[in-house]
Amino acid sequence: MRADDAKSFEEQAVLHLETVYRVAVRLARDEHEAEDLVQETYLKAYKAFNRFEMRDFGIRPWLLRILHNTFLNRTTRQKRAPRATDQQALEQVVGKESSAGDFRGPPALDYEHLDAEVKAAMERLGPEFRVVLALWATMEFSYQEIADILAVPIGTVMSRLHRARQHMLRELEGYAREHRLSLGAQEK
Amino acid sequence: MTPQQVRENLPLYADGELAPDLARAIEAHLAAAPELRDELERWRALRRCARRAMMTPELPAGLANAIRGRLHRQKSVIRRYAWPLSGGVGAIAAAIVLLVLLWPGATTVAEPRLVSAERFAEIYRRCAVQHQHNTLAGVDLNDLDAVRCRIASCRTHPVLLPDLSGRGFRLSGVCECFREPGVRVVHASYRREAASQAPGPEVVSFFSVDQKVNLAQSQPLACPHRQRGQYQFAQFEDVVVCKWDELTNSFVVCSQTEADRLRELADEVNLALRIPAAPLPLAFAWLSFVGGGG
Repeated sequence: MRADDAKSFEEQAVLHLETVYRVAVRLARDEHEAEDLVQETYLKAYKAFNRFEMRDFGIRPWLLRILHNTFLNRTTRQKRAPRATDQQALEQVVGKESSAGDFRGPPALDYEHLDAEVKAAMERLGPEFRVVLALWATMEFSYQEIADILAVPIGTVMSRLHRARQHMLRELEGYAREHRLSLGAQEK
Repeated sequence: MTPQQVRENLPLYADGELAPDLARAIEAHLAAAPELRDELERWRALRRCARRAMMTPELPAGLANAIRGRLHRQKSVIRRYAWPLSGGVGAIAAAIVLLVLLWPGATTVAEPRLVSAERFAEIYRRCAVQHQHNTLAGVDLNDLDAVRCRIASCRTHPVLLPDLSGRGFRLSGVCECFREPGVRVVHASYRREAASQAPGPEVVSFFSVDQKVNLAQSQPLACPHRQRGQYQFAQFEDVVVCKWDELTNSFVVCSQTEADRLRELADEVNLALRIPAAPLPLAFAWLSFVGGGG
């Protein structure tokens, strides 16, 4: 890599460190592991910068794609138990309840004070759903961009996002009932 | 569309992901149903809440430095193995550049890429009007120089943003949602200042394209105040799109207004480009473009 490329990489990539770290935390669910993941991602990206495939779309989606692949490789390497790690696992959590026609809208809650509950609900999802939610929650990516980052069809992104959101809403409703909060129109 | 379909499409509408005709159908339902508007607001609130939840924990203070340190160590490893090759490769590259520059007709510019004008109108509707996208977190949008510096720091092509304050507009967001393979586009949206009394639209989109493009579905129109070329105009319902070229780049403005008013605005957009009186070879023109930009 030329010195200019190295400088260019550092200037461009470090700007996106915060976004990459936040998505890493959501994926790893552990701050220290997220730091490792981010460092490995940047090192891989640096080595591959002259083969930078998504130049037209900017460096950030490319970094996030490397992050995601790195996370998946680590998960495979560590042979973790498939605890809520795939579509099937999510089915076990919400599958029975989320049949077609069972669509629900968000309950009337005070969303300005539910950050911790939303975060907990996100963390109970499998990584394939968490990563879609995390990228969606940054409010900076369209569905197509998320699909490009994860190298999956846009329909998969829409389906995962829909199911993940429905799961979150159920969790929030459960929380509201537990704490005897009014669900507004949902109760009627 | 059944009431159930409307509800199922609300989260997609909130995310700005519906096709324009479907979005309009949803808007018709929203106009008539306050409970739907409440539900739409709850979808948006849920996304904001998820975003806030993403904001913790804080970025560890030492992480950026740790990464820089690892990159520098990696650099020195790469340099140790790469330098014997670099002289030869550099000489070959220099020879190729010279050959290209000196070759007869080397400055001929390829035919501009054709881009759908409607896509600019869609981005205007979605990113500027509906969602007010802004990906420049932490930058004061009232400070155009700071915005330009931030963009320049992460782009390898020049991005020029006009100052429209003289027309009563302030910058309200910058995003790169316009996707076209092989073309890099930065979109800036401007909103009318509350105090502005000047007539005209509320929101204007400006697109800085990294190369010359041609608009499909457009009509040519005279360009009275520019030194060369002409405008290309297109209209999609109430959204007008106007494109022109300067040196090696194209620029587009887009708004819900009359074509004449948009042309007036485009005429006044001053990107401070120094256009040489006599044609220069491409390399020199580019240098003067970069030097004068911004």
